[in-house]
Amino acid sequence: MLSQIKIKKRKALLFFGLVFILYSCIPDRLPTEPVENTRPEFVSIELTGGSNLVVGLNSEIKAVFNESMNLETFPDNFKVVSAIDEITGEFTANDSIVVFKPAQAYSPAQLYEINISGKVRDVHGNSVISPNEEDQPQSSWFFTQGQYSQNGFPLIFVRDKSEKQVIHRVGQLNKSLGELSVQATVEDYQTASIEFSPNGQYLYMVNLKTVDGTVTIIDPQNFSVVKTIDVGLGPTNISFGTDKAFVSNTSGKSITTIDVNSLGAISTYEFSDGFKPKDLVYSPITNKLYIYSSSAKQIKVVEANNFESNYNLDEVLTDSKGVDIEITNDGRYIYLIQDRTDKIIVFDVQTDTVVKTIETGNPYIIDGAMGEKYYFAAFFKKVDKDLVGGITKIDLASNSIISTTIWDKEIDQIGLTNANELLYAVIPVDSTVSLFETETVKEISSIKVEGSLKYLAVSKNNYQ
Amino acid sequence: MRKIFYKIFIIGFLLSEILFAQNGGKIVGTVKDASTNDLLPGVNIIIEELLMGDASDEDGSFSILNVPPGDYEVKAKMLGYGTIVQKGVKVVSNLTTNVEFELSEQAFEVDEVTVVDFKIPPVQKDLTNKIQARTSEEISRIPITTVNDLLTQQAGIVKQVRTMPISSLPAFGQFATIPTDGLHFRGGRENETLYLFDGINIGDALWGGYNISQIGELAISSMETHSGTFGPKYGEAMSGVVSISSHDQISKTPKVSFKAFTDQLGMESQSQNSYGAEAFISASLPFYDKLGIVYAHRSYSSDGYINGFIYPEFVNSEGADKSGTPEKVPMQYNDTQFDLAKIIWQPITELKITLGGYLAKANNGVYDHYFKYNPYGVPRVKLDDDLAYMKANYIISQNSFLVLSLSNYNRGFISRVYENPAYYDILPQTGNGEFSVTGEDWVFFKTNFGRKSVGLDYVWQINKIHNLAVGVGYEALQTDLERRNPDGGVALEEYKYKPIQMNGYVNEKMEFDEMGMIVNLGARFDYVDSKRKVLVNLANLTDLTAPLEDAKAEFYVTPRLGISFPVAEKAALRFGYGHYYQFPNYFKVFQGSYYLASTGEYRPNPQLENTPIASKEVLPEKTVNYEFGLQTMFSQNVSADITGFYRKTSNLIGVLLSETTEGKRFQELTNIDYATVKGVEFSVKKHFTDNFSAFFNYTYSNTLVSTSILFSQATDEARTFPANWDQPHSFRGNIYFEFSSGFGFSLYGSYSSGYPYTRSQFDPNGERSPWIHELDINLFKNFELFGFKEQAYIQILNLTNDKNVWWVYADSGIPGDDASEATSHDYTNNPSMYGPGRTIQIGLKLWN
Repeated sequence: MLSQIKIKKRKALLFFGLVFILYSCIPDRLPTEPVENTRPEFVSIELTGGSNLVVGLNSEIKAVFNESMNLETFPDNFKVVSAIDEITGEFTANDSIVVFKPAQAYSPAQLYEINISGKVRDVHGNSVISPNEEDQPQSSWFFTQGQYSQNGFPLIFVRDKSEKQVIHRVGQLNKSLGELSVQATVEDYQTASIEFSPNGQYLYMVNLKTVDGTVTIIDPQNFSVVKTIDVGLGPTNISFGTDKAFVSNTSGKSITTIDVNSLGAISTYEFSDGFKPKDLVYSPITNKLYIYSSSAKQIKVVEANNFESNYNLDEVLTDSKGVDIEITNDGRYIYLIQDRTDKIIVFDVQTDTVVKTIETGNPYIIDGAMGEKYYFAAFFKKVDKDLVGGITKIDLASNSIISTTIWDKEIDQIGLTNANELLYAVIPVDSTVSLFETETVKEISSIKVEGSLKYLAVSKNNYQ
Repeated sequence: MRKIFYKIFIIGFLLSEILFAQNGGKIVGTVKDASTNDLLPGVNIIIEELLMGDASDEDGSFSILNVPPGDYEVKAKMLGYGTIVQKGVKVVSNLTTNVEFELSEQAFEVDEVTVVDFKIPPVQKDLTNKIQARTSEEISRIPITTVNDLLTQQAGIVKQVRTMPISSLPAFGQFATIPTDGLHFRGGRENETLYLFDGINIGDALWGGYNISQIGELAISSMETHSGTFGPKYGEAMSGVVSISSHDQISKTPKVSFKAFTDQLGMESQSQNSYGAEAFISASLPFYDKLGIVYAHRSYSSDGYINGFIYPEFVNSEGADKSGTPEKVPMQYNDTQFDLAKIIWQPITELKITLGGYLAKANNGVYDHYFKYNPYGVPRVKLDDDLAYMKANYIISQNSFLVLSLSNYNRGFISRVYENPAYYDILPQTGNGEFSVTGEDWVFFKTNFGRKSVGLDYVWQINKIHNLAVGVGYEALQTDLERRNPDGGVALEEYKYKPIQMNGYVNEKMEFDEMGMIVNLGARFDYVDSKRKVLVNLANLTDLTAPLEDAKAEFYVTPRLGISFPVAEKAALRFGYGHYYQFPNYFKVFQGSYYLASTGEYRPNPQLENTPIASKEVLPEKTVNYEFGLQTMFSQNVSADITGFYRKTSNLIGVLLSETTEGKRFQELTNIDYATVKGVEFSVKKHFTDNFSAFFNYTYSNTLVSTSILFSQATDEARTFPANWDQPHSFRGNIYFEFSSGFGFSLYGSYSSGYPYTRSQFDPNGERSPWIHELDINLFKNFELFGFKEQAYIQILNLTNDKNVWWVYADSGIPGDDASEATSHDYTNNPSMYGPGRTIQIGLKLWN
């Protein structure tokens, strides 16, 4: 009995001993080392290769800060977005550098915006900007690889308005590659257009002189004259059919046909009604040429083979004469710009009717460029006392305006690369050639070209 | 022969116990034959619990000297007579308890033991000043969380309330966290009390006061509070003496106690996340019963009821965003640990040596509303103290004994935000206009106080009337202080002074039995040499080459007189008068000193902008106490006491505006303030009989001071006004029931005037905050299991969950909102303006 009591006492003491131990510790209340609260600073965004252009489809992006960052804050605040997709990826850190590795490949020939929100935080929880302030994201962009960068780059040729025999060449996307002075017995009186043949083999340079004009055939790669072909008086533009080129001789009131295989003039057809052709397009659907006049609000339609059955369309141009004419790649619709207006007339060659007149809201449209899906129209206008330029992008399927990009400088001639990924534009005021990507019509580069720039042509092929 | 031998043995053995006990009271009485009324010599009077006793002399009287304070069973035993045990005999230090025995003759072989309740004497005849005593048993009957609660439940003791006005700057102040006892005794300032632990002075002479709440309930055998005209044995205190006695006997049978409680019951609104645990053990060595050990431990932790909050985005949003779930950070926490150990050795009957000591540490948070959302920016306080002492009691003769004590007491105080000064540089001090956002208060305060003391007391019972007590003491103090501005680490104050204090007293206690009158007449002298250097002319403060000289040592003699005189069979009048000097706490005496490396001297720092400089001559603060009292007994178990008191205090340290020789103004700390206190205390006590006990206290007091705050701007010396701690009316009471089934409850309540505040500068402290009330209950069940006694209890503090108002805004007269429309409610709603809400604790006790 006594021993049982002793055992019970021991158990009771053990129980209270445990309770005592449980409650016999006091907590440590001292604060730990304070954590600095200096906001991290954004330093830069770096891309593989160091350039924003021709960026590989799996390239990493480095965001550089002045201190180590908390990677958990990046997925929600680090965006890589193009007009057509958003790229997610993984983040790793190397000290103060945060590396973004895309989880999927970027789309080719797309302009990607990189936006890093001020909400990203350093490892101590400090965001770049106070959360109660308006976010001021750090931005950058890059343009991915595309057809324009496969096996080299397209070449861009620009005629000089002052030095009329001179053609400037731009290549490797945004580098000036020198100039070519085309020798001529009689110097050009005025600069006329240049165009590539549909197969892209040669550049055709239209030479307007005080005497009969010529067309100079230039090898784009060698940047050398292959041949010079005599045409009529006052040639201004050239357009291509299946195996022919058609030169509009404005002063001669005629069209000269050139065999693009033999590079020889076939014939010159003179309009008997005094029609002065300014520019023209060929439709393979109707096998006809569509020509606008330099002096009248008139469109002339002629058979491309023999110039017979020609007739005039007097109701198409309503306000003024034409200033540029382009045709869709399938040859169905003509996009005709009326001089000194904001109107683009869409004309169906099958029905010989105007499908739509697109009012862009921007007067003085001066040039158009036809792509596979979109039509681009360059314009200028006066804002206050300054001339500014712009590019209107029009959807061919709906003939609706997709976007209008206003540029602080007047734009003159524009041209698309073969896959419609890039658009080159001549900016005469500062003698540069600007490079726009066509999805968002954002300038991604510019090239200084010494001279007085005017007509522009973009090669169909790429060159090393 | 055997009888004589037995008597000699008992007397010798028990006298040794009597004389070696410390802070003891006295049990006297007579033994009579119940049938003949003859006085009986040779009766053994024994306190078995203490192994103390006496044998009645020829006229049947006995006397047991120096009995440790507490409740005891006293046994009277004599061959041929039935043994009588009187239980509940209460002994108070320095007082005499009368115990009368009447024995009945019995057959020789019969050993009948009769147990009776001790009859409380109608009056405590030798009570010449008011003493409020609590034995361990009484302590266990009152709902308390810390021992500090015991004090504030007594008459005439008021808790300090810190008023922390709102601020838009971290101007918290270096002195806001300095240690204090936080108590006002009879209208005095804080830190005017002497604290004794087992008779050893444990007061911090650098800062004043003591952290009494850290001591465990189980370690205490009694706690006595002298709040009036106490005797000359006690010095360096003007308002009161708190004497704590720990268990001090060799327990032949081991004694074990445990206590644990918590309020972590899953009810967040009723909890302060508090818990505590205590253990106590007392035993003699199994192989050597002349050596006993005592060990007690207490741990306590409480988050307090005021928290800071860290919102997830507060810092990152620069103080604008208070959304999300905040982290709650206790800002008024209190954590303590206390370990007591004693070895009691009695190698021979004439000598008893006690080696004891404790280690204690306390960590405290102090709430600053400016840092509500940056709670780690406030300084945190760490107080570590330790005591080691030796007491030797030696019997010189049957009527005299000597007590020699040696002690070493240290107390370290640190107030800082960070231990590492370099951390102060990491974050800038920023705020959002109302609250701190980042950074911290620039507080780095580090002090150490040490006292090495030796004391000798001699007590001589000259005859039945005259009792002479004399004593001397010597104290070598160490006062190290380092106060820096962490922003740059500049030392604002820095010194290491080694003051010396000496004291002596003589007290003659005259007990005129025939008249029933008791007279205590004594005097005390104190000598204080601060050992500081002072400027020959303080006006040369800015001249760092100005000559210094030694500060003048102070010597003062203070008379004490106490008289008790019976006016009826059950009533006695008393009168007390005394002069009480207290040298100011050394941080005031040395205020403004720093170490000038170029001269290698401690001297006043002229660069201090907001800190006063101690005057060249700092005198002791002085109080003259008068006390009139009447004690009476309404019935056998109900006694009452009414005490009127008047106190006149002068030479209080205050601030005076002075000028240097260049005309630069500075604040000078000197003896300019004064105060008067008058009041009445009324107490009724029902002793524990018939299953219940109770007490009721009412205090009226009126405290007028010339300034309430030590570090304030200089005030008009010609006027007095109510002190910040003045509470004219205070009612406090407790009722305790314990039924035979083991169930019981204890109910404590108080109702006190609100604290004063100043609405108009022309009428300082002319307005009053609302009344403050409190109701606590403890419900318990006693039972026995596993051979131990156990008690399970539920304790509810602030039963009615009332929101007491500690202080209000001077302009609006209410808490929570000031009169300005420019301030937000969050900014003005300082939670320290209110008292804590309801908390519910559960606990368990075990003892044998």
